[in-house]
Amino acid sequence: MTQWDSSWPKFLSQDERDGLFACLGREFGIPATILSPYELLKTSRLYYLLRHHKKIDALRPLKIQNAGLPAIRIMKRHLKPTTEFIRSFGQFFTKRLIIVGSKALMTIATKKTIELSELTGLSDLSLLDKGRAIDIRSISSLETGFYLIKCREIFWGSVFIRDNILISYFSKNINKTVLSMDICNNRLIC
Amino acid sequence: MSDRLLDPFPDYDFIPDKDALLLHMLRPLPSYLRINPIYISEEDAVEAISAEGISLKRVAEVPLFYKADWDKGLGHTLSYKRGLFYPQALSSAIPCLALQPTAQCLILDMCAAPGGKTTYLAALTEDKGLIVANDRNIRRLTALNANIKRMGLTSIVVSSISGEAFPLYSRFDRVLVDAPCSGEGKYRIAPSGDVLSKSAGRANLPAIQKGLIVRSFDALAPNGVMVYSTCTINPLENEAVVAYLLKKRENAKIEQWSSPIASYQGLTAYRNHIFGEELRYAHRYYPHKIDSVGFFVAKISKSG
Repeated sequence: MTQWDSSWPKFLSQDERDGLFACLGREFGIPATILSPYELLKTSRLYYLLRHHKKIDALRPLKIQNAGLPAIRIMKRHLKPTTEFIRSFGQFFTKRLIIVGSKALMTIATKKTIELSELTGLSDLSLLDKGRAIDIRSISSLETGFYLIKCREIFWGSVFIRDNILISYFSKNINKTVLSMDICNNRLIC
Repeated sequence: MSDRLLDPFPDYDFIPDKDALLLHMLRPLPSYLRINPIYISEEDAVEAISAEGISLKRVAEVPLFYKADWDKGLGHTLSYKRGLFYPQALSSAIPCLALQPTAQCLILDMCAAPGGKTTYLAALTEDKGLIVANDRNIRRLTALNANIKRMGLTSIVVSSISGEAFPLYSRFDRVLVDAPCSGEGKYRIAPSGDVLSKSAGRANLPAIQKGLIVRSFDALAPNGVMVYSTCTINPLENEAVVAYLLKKRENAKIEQWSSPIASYQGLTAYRNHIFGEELRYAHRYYPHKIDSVGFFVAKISKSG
């Protein structure tokens, strides 16, 4: 069979897929079956999701710019879900999902680094763990890693938490959007 | 009133109710948007968009399309940034519907940027087909990639190859050629009398279009379907280009197709150009008849 053109990211083998799925399951509680309809492709620091299609082999010789949706970024020893991945698959995360109020969302969009206690002082923060919502104040220390931020049923992006310090990974565009919203009137409208 | 207007199409005596078109060109085109059903359901997306104060009216004939009443730029809304919709002319849906894509198809969108039709094709196949979105202009790929990401689509591969030289080792079940054109279907007349949205380029567009249509047809698999479309009403960029393909490739045939919105038959002749009877199966869309951008759509099949 013709080789894939060198412009294509590398397709993950079954073993590599299993390894990544196990990791996503362990860290974010995503069931492996959710991602089974997709090919997983990898560049040095990014995994892409490409819908599996029986005619994909016809494109092997094609010189491409990119394939599929950027899904998971490799950040040192941690996996960071991209904003696009979070929007599509956030509903399947049963771990490491923090539900925040509007004021806490605004603070995350304003500051790069925040003490978790600063956020809990603003509004209730719940952590979804194994499908169960827990008040963050009742947890002494959160596991190090990336967490999703959800507010008003919308997935906004991810943050990195270590030693109860939160580092925002919201994109500039999301920050701009959040800061332009009419939060005072308790609405989410730009 | 039209006597006082400068007619940008003095040679086009084929336009039905031409005075009505000239009057129509004095006002802005209405805004339409297409719901992206990938993140949340169409109903939930409509609810979220409406909650921002945008008044939506569903276009029953065209899946996922809504007429949008909103006095600011739709691109500034939260719903847009969340990827819940794509602002898109109603008529630009037509080439995608004519193509009748399915999840089993390998699809080529030859001139894909900025991605309105590509992402609609993905929506029509529930993001389960396999689409190659090609555009030779690498600078235009930024917008294409941004739209694919914003809408969360996983079925699209992006390439940047000159259409006239697109490699023929992969044969596609469906090919869309939404060719670069003079954009006459978008013309508006300013209060000063100036024609707005006029292309500044001086390229020999029919020559480019002819190169694109033949190469695209060659990339089509036997029994495959291709759609050639433009947003111009110029017969030399439309019927003449399709007639050129029919002359060059004996196994090309224009297919009859029922349009979901008001259309007129393709021209069989224009001035001293004879295009042939088959061209009547092509569809012409005039701005004043559909209250959107003027379009030309021809559906072409390739015999086995």
